[in-house]
Amino acid sequence: MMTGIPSLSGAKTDGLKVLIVDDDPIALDILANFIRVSGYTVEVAANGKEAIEKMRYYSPRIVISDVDMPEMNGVELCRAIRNRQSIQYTYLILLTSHSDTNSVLLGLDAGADDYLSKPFRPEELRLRMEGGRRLLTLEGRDMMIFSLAKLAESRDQDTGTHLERIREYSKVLATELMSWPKFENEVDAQFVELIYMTSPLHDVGKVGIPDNVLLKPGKLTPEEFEVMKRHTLIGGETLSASAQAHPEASFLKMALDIALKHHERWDGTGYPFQLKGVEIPLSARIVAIADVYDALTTKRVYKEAFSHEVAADIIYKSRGTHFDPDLVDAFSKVENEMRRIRFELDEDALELRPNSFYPISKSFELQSHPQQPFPAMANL
Amino acid sequence: MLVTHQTSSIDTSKLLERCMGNRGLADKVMLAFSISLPIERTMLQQAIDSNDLETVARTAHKLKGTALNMCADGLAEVAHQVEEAARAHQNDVVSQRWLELCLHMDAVREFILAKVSAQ
Repeated sequence: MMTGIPSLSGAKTDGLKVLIVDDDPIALDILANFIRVSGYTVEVAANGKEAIEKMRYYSPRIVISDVDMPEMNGVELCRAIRNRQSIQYTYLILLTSHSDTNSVLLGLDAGADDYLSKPFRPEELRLRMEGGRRLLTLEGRDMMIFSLAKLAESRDQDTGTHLERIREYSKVLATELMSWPKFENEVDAQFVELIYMTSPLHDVGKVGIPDNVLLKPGKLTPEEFEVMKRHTLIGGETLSASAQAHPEASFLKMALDIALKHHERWDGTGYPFQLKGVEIPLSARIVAIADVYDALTTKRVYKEAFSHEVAADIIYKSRGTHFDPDLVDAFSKVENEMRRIRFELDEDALELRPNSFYPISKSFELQSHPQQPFPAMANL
Repeated sequence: MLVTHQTSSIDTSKLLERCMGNRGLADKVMLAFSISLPIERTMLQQAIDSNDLETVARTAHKLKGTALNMCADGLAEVAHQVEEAARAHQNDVVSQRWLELCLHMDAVREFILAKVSAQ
């Protein structure tokens, strides 16, 4: 029995496509055989130029390339791949000799994800590729989450790039909280990453709201508003099933919290559970501000867009009632960032127009209905 | 300087491992290596004769890489010395190591041909 051959049992590669680039045909043969035996689908190229040609029809997810090659070397290949328009990420591994540390730096700078010393050690290469495969799987997860959110959004005619702004606003607010001692045990880089990933799912339950309510251009009747409020429960139920099936997936737990509770209010007058204060998960409290700020500052069929100043004023006046006081304070510290995101991601941003008219009216004032404090927020 | 099949040959067990137990592939790459060695040798000889140390370094570097893949560690070591000497523009060291490299290349090639003819 042969010893030293890495065990490949249990490898879950799903036939992922790999492109190997090396001008040494012997190295190509040995490497291609190893990768094929490991469960991947393999294509080979003799240099960077040939690799780019083959990528036009082969579309590999992982590229393993030598550095020193004729025509186009490995560093140039990395740069060319990163400059391509592509709908999916390509994981790049460079093969270098021990003495070639400069090429490693150049390669990483050009966009390589990892590097490996030549000659490759089978077990090491297998683990590095597994790392790449995990990263690509995460990309797939992110794309799936955003696609799901976009599906829900597609039924809502008014929202445009709403999801993109919501996740940027949420990220900015969460990042601000990272530096607050009060939140040091709750908000870290992973929290920020998770809220960026999951906040677009806040309205996923809208897929279950009838068109006559969801697409109604005017103000909702109380009955219709009750129907609209169900989107939190529908989203919660959908994500709850996934979260229970995959308890290890923290992003599903956060997505569930946000979808179900982003319409709760700090003073306990929100929906669907009338949770109060910190009973509302922090992620949902953050998205609540992001969602309202976006609703206020963008044009809808039933309202004009408010200026940043007006929207901010409404948020400040809702400190301790609708919104967590800490988050309103955080909002005040990142106002410029919020404004910048709005400029960049909302083509209708009013401040971009010189001498624009901001339709401020008395209808901003609090109304008696606790669920619908502002006309702008009534149809959220 | 003693270059024998022991000091400069191919570790076939290790090569077979790198080929994931695929004996046909191991034989194929050994044969390919035996064919490429005289070509590399001619290229190196011409570069040394014309004092083109850049080509010497590049060709020796490539030879080293292939030798390491083929588990011909002795040959890879001397190719590395030639490459380093060429990069440092040490012509005298290149000349010394070149002779040694030729012996290693011959030994590896003979080793492969002996293996092939024995099968």
